[in-house]
Amino acid sequence: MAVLSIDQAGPMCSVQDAGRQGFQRFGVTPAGVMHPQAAALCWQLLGRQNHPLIEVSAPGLMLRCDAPVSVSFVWQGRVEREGVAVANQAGRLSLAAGEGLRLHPSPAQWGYLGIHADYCAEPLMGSYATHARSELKVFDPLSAGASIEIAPWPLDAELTGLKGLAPTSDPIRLLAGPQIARFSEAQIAQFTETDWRIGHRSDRMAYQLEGPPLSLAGNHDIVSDGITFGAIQITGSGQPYVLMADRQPTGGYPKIGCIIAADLGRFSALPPGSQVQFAWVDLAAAQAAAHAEAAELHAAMRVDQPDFRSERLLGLNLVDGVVNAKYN
Amino acid sequence: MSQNIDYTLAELGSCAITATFADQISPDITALVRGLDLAIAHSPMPGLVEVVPCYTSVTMHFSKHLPPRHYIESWLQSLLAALDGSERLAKRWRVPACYHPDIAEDLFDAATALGVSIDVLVEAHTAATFEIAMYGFAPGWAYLSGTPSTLDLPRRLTPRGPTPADALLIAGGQAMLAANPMPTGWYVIGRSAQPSFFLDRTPPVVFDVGDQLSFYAVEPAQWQAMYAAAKAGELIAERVH
Repeated sequence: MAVLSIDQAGPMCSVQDAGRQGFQRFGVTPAGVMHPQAAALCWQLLGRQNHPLIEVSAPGLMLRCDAPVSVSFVWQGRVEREGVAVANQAGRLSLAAGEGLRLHPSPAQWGYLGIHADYCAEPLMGSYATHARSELKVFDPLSAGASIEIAPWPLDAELTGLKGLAPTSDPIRLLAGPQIARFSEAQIAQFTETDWRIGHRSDRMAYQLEGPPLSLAGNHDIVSDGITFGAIQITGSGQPYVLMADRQPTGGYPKIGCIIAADLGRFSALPPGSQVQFAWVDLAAAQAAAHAEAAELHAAMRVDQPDFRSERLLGLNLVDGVVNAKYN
Repeated sequence: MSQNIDYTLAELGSCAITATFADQISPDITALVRGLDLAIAHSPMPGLVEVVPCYTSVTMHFSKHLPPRHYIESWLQSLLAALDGSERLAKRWRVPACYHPDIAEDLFDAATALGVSIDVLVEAHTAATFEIAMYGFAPGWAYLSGTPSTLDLPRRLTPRGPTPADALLIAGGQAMLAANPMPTGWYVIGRSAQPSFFLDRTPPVVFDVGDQLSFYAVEPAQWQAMYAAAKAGELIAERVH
């Protein structure tokens, strides 16, 4: 038995897995990881599918363990062990007892730590996912001072300098939603012609899209029906909301479209204030993208040129120093 | 039931699909949805991970991606063609509840908004036979159809704080049995003596979709005792048949 301690944590850090499945018919939100692709990479590094992960929000997190433990990570910001930059993007590290692991702020909204350990707590309804709103959780949302009892596995080999997930600014791909017939051709075209901005009131339940409202000719209320991660609801004010991991199981607003599963992580990674564009695709394209995910995961596991990586890390440190000198 | 049941089938993203049978709520359509839901449970399709029945639709969530559309269509067609109405589980329950301002915080406000006395409101709620049309919104929140028109009042202009556990709610011409505390725009007019959502049970709910519920009023002291016993595992709701 060992204790994992959270020294610092940004808002909305929590323990998540693939979500609580099979209970939406009883009103239970699945919750689960916000960035399925980054989580899949972390599970690959961890060597155990769907093992509970620590989901870390953009401001970062610092933790330590009172026993030696290996940690897999997927994080776009700098990663430090005892104040020394060790790697970024993705990899696997070992921490000696009491050593601090720090994730510095990230440009991506979510990243993951996979602790190579069993958690000394039973899952709730088959899952370790945290749904703060309905208080369905095994662990409280993670904040400074939190501690979690774990049973570390034997240490694993370290792995750094991985390529990580390939960045792309391609539009987020959408399938037509169940109520698309309620929207005019012009509105459907407008949706993909607009440069939307991610609203600042976005959270694990929904991301707001800021832009010109999509006024509906008819009634906005529909008979509540099923919803899913990535469904885009148009509310009475004409503002779109993209439903995320903590969505309710059903909803009563028309859904113009749904983000394809392969693009959910790329979309959820966008921080508030950033711009996003969408593109309509068909089901065949969505399925091709799903098949391409396995190859992308494989590519993310490849090791980059070590020299390039260290130069890049130095460069990142240098920039941080300049910023600090100017503003401190 | 008719062999030719009209419905629309629409993808809900790349891993889910919704079959919708009507754009208006009606008892026949809700019964049809329930029959289909049971039929799906008996003959599921590979890759299907969960089914969410609503008033007029069924959403089917698949694990990785959707099977080809014509497979789904022919599977649904065969299930629908075999429905004869007998699938419907008609469990009926009598459930004790307390309608007292000390326990039901919004009772007075709701009666005022309806322009009736508290007694008239309680009489209308206890005289009704409700049916669980669907769960949604939050864990163990059961939407009840069969709300009498006497209880039709608009939602609150601003939401109230978290409801007490196992609250009986009304608003917008609808009624709800709300197991877990959540903020809401509805009115709390009573509390059931039967907790209806248990995290450690499979399934977690006491009442199924399709079950019929009627409530009878008990005094606060009696309600307290019943609620405590039910929390400890005793079944306080009475199964009529």
